Amino acid sequence: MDAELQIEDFDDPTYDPHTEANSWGDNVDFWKDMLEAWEKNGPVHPGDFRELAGLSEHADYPEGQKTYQVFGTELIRSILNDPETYSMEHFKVGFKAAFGNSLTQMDPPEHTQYRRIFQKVFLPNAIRHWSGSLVEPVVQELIDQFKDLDRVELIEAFTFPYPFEIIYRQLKLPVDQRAIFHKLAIAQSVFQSNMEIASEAGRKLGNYFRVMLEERKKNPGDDLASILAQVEVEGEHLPDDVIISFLRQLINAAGDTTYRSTSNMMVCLLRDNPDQWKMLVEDRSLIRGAIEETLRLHSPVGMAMRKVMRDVELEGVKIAKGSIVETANILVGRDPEIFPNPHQFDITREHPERHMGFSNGPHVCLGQHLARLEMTRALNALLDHFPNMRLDEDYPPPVISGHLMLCPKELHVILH
Amino acid sequence: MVSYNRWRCNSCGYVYDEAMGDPEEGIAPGTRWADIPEDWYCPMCGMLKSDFDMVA
Repeated sequence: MDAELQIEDFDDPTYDPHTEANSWGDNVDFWKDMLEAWEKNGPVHPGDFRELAGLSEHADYPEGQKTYQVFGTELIRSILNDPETYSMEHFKVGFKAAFGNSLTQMDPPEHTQYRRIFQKVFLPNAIRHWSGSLVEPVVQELIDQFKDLDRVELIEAFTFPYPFEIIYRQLKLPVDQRAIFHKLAIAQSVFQSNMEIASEAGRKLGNYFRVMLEERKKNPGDDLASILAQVEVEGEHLPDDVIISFLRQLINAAGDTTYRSTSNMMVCLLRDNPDQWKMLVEDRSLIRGAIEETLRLHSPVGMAMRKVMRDVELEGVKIAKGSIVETANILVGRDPEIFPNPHQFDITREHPERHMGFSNGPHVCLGQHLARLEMTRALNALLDHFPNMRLDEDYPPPVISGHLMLCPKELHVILH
Repeated sequence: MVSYNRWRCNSCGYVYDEAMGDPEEGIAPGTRWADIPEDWYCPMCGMLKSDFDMVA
């Protein structure tokens, strides 16, 4: 299988996208800056979050692009659930150059048509088989590599590699090509600051997946590309270019977000709430609460953007057609009307899932159930092996940083 | 005249209309919300029936 499958490196193979991918900024607890902007300027006001974070302008926005920041649960919900007025069209430039004809940049009716077919592969009952066949072995093999050590940097050793390894195995990706593959996948995400490199990465990954898809259509297996090639709703299949774009996006949409969420969860538990770590050791039914509380307070994706397709007025602010609205999704999780004592991480909270950590509306995260499954297996295994895990006080306490994609950079722990 | 209700997913906004059913999912037009099994998933995002609210 896959005899011709060969990934092509960057024209400049020394290019390291990880530095640029960190263009998400070093802002610590950026939600506080967002909350302050809301309190100071009201629920709808001109500006964008990259600017608020002190970062470079959007390379993917045309010059003079008008942008607005939007706050408040109901306002955000109304925007994200009205795709005719608030479209993904702005992603048809930079994002599309990087990721291609992906589901993310589509609007109805095209989006609705393909979303239903994709979702079939990622429904809770459809992903269950990956738990034992993929997720648990990956988690266990990684833990086996460091379980006898006294101390470890947990992100490098575990929370970073595990979701990516799951994807590599879902795709049955050759081991010797994974490093270049990963580099290209991450580089696509820098389209907001460097469109040229993001486009090169997207093109090369696209070429790779085109060959993979053709091969797996001829010799279907149980890998994700084969499954996507075969899935159908009422006889309708996914077009090749849509599958290829989905696969190009997978590392960022599934791997990057899950590594960040799991890392954030460990910070919430070990830095801020070691008592709740102990509760989890004793009672695994609380794992769900730990995951939802993390997503509520520190979702790895803190905001969404939409292009306004007609003149509108929001909270008395007139917004012209063609403007972009950026919605502060992460603050929905801190809405005191939905979550009493909203800034407290509490794994026993009732209905913690009413956050927008996976966004909301037609573009709500397709892989949310797989993300929850992976985080559940990861946390359960860590609790099994390291019930006394705690922060290593020889290092500064970890901080969750970034403005759009949020995560700690390091997480040093004592294991036993 | 028979009256039907509509139910909306709080996660993705998909609306189940009892009058229309969801033939693509094998649910015939006229199927009442109460007759849809509890382990049914929203076809657009995978949430459960408990994540739906009736549309006023």
